[in-house]
Amino acid sequence: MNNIDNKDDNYIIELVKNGNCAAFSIIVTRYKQQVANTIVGMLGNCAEADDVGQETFIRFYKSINNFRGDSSLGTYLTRIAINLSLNELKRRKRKHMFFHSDSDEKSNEISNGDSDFEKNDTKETVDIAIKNLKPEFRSVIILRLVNGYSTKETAEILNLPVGTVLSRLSRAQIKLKDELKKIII
Amino acid sequence: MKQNILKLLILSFDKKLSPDKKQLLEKKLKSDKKLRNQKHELNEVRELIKKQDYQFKPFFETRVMSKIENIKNEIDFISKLFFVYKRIFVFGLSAVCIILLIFYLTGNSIPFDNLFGTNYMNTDNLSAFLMFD
Repeated sequence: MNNIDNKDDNYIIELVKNGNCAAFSIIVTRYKQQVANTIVGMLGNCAEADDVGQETFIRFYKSINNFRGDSSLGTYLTRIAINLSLNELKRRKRKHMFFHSDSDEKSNEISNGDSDFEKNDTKETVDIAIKNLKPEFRSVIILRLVNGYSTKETAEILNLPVGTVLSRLSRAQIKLKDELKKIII
Repeated sequence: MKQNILKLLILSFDKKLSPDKKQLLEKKLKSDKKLRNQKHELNEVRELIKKQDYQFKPFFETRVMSKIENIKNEIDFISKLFFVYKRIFVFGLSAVCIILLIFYLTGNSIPFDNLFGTNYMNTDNLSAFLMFD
């Protein structure tokens, strides 16, 4: 396996198409971080995130013969990951409508007091701020800033006009700036 | 106006501004300390978010590959099953064709009425036939 570790994605995909199932583990290793950034960023660190992550790779495996390579493999996987994450968020919303409780209503708040703030590390605080964004804003922030896609790529992945992505980015950043004021020097 | 400049400032991070807009923003940044602070804050926010990296739980690859292995086994099983049934289907179809051919060669016609049990059926007792009377 070591000698194919350095081969490019197309070569690995051809191996998988020809029945070398084990070669697929190289794809998982290469792209799990990128997929995790998308899914855990969208859903938070929960059991569902892990399931959606697995489902992303399984979907790709099942449809590997349809992969034509028009977009890079990373972009293709991110597109699957973001769509599955948005579906999961819709499912959660539906579930919330049926099993509504008051405790669910409160959004995560970033602690105000200095002592409390010290307990939360910066990463966690940023996490909460991102989580408090609506899914449509969160998705552009995750793709553009966490995954580092250009605005054009973000628009393509989300199937949105570039103008919409820019406006969502703008609104999301204003909200994040307000929420994260306490930790910005 | 202030809102527009702020929008322009945020846009400048993600889009190449036209020369006149770029000039306007630079001019405003030079003269407005508050706007400069906002730029600094936005930069900080963007840097903080860029530093975020998320992980799946440990042994993620093992879990994925175990599921993929199961799927592959299922696909292999189905294709084997299809291969076996395809053989049975081809053999069955060949047998039927041979029987029909024998009928044809011995009687010079293919007796569909006999084959389907409709040889005693006529239009008068059709309803009785259909109702198995």
